[in-house]
Amino acid sequence: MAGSPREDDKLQITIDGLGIRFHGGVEAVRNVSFTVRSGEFVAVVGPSGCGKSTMLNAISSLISSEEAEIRGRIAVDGTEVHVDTPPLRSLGYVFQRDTLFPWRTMIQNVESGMEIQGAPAAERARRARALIDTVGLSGFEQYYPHQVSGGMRQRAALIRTLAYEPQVILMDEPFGALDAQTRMILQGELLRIWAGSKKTILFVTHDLAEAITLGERVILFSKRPGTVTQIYDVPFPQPRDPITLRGLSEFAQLHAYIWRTLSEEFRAEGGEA
Amino acid sequence: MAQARSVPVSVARRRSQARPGARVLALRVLLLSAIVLFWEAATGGLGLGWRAFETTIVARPSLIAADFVGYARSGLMVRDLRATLSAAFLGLFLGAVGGIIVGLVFGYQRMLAAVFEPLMVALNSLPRITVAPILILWFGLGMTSKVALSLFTVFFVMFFNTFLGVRTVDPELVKAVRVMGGGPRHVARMVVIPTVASWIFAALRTSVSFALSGAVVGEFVGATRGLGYRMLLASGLLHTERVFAIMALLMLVAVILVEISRRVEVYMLRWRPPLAEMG
Repeated sequence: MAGSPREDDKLQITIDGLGIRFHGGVEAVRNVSFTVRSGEFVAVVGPSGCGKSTMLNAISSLISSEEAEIRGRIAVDGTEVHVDTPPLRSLGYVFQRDTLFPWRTMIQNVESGMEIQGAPAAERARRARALIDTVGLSGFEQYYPHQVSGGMRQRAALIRTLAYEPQVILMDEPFGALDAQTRMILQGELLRIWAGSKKTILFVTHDLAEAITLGERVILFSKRPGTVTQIYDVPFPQPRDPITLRGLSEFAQLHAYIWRTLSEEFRAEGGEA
Repeated sequence: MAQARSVPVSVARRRSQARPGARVLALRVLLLSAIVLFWEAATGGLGLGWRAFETTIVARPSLIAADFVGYARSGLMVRDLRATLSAAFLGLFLGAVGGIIVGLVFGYQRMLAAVFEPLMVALNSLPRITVAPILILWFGLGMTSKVALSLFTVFFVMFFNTFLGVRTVDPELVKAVRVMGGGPRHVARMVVIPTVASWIFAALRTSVSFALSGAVVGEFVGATRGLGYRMLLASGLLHTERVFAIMALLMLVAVILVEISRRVEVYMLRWRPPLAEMG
């Protein structure tokens, strides 16, 4: 079932033989190789603690050589990523926690990425307001993060990243802390935004249903040390609607099919946890 | 969306509930009047012929008020107030600046902090006003010794808060700035300074009252002017009304200063969730 690469598309992320071992002795990922094409939405799914997040941290140069030994090759947009170099400007990263600055209003938070990248104030305000509109946060510009719900905070964190227009966005279980309904609504919004922008997204989750709802391809990780066990094509057409999608029998079939492989990894994990 | 909009409204409601109602205010006025009237009566006032306390021990409220006015009219009050407040504010300013700088340095230099830790803890556990006599010895009876005592008391409050502030910087927020392409300057401006500032503003109220007591205690130990000096002088002359009048004045000054710093704190930290929620 491996994907048939469209030859004309350029590769945006190349991971080749990636291995990460922390100096404390924990081996997080071992010999991981895969590629992501420009404009593609790829979901990585695997048991918790399988090194998925560690891999994202390595891609965004957040792991220093003092913490871990990194083998293999990571390239984003043809640029090699090395430890101890500053994160690439073409990268965005949405964390599991919203990581909004509590002392900044919602709009100041949305502007912060653009501020770092040196966008002029008027341009920042204009773009922030447009994005705030698209995710339904209008009217909350002057609120502080503690005054709004978790779903609204995560929306703001998402558009803060979109606002400075990175070509590649890494997402680490960004909807993990939200309730089921809010999560599905945000999945829909993310798909809509992605369809409109054609960003390249690498989305990590431990929720298989979320992975096949969002991803054009799903990469299955084993338990730690994480390795790629399978790569599946998800044939559902775009644009997708998470709620309709989940009602389809094809969705249930694909879910059951992948689950058989994944459940073995979860079972194996059960013994350690 | 309708549900989400209700969140800030509930925050606003909870805040307004903290204000006392008219009934509580009325009872407060009643309590204060009762105390003053009882006090006046118990010290031979109101023509009741009741004298539970000698007026050289507990002064009569009406006479304290009269002395307060006399003290103000003589011009001495302004002179003393100016001396005490100058020393307190100068001490507050210098102590805060020093405490913040040393706190920042120690916050970043773990080695230095580890070496100095026992010394800082020992100096901090020394009851602060006990250094007053040596400061008088070093700096004399003038304003410098009062400033020094204020500075010393404020320094440690600000130092420990700044130090803890640096240590509580959220590494996730630092990561967020870095992935957005931010360097050390952005990390400082967007994460470290706001974190440390929140600790500093939270310590402002304590620092202000420490600065004031530092200045007054310094004047007790040895001075030629100031509210503490005037109070000690009056006490020695059994001029009890004046002692009480100055106590009332100090109370008033402290209430005003603490209220100002509370408002500064609330304004600067308005991004914080209300305390009840922080549990």
